[in-house]
Amino acid sequence: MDIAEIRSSGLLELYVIDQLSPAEKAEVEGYLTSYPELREDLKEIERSLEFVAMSAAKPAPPGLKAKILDEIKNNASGGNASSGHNGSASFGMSGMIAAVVGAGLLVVSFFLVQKNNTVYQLQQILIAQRDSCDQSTQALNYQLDLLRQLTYPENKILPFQATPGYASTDLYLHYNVVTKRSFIQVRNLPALAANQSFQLWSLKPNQAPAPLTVFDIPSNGLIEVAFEAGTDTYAITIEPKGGRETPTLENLIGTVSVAGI
Amino acid sequence: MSLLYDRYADSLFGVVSRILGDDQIAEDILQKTMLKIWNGIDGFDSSKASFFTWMSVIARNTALDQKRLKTFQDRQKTISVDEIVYRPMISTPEGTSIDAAALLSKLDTNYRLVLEYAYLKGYTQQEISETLDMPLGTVKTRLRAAIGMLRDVLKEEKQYFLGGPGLRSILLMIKWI
Repeated sequence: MDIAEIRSSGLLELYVIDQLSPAEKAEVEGYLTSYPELREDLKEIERSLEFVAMSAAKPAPPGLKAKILDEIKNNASGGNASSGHNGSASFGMSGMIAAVVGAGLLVVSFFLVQKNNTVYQLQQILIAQRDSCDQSTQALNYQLDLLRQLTYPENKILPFQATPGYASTDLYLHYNVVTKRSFIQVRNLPALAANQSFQLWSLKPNQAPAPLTVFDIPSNGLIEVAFEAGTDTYAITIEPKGGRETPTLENLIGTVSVAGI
Repeated sequence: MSLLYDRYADSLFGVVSRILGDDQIAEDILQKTMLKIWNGIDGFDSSKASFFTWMSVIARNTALDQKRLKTFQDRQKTISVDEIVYRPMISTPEGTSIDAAALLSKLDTNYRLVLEYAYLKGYTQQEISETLDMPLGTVKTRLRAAIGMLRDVLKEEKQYFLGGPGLRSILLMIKWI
């Protein structure tokens, strides 16, 4: 049908009155899609029929409005009351469950936090202990290394000869030409001023003394010093803090010969 | 609901009471109708029909469902159908009035009768044809012509009709407040 035929068919009027079969309704809705201008026709028909209904209105029975409003209110409050009651009950139940779960979560959280803190603290202790162990291990390895060096078969233990001005000097040189390492074992050293240190020297024939290790009194009585190949004699002097390039001969406290070793 | 009722209850009651011919039962049906409307506002689709059309279809179908019940038909035998009396004036939302009686008087009685049977009493065209002893083609023609005449007259009265998605939104808002 074209639009004029649709308009004259009476289908639109019956569509508004709802007197069409489902198939006819679908047909009209198809026309409304194909011819959007028919929607204005539809609106005019609706307005006309609404006018008829308004004109033919009959006063609704008195009290009906209150009845309907009450029913809506009752349904709503019933629904609400019901749902409210159930809601309250379910709220009560779910509230209790939620409270229990919440409390449980809080407790668990608290313990987790505590546990986490404890774990963290234990981790810190562990790290400190590990550092301490590392330091101890390092110290022990050092001591072990010293022990190995000092007990090495080729190790020579040579006493320093104290000079007359420093007769109290009591030192030993642990000397090893194989490992090329030297240690001074301190049994006694003269006292130092705050601005002084001991300094080891290498004495070789026809050469100026070569400055070697500068050291203070070792706390553990043993100190590794430089091994200088070709040295005939090692000498120790008291020098200003930090050492010097040439020895202060009047401060010579002792010597030890390694010639021929 | 109060707004909805104040504005439409009388018109819908006019429809359902004329379909049923029994004001007592019509009261119950109007109550059912208003509750269906109230509860079904979410389902109103303004792209398919105006709000009043949607409501009047609910009212008519609810009334026709009642009319089809055998218990109702047995009761109906003893009840007479009233004559349709049109309101002389209809107030618009803007405060103006439409002289409905004068306007409807412009319709030929035969045309108006078909319209009343089809729209206000819920008769099908076939039923109108049988009841008024009128050829079906004539019923169709008169129905369309009656509505066409009203359309022409009411084209200038568009402001009278409140509807569309805006109304639905207002009602939904009122409903859920």
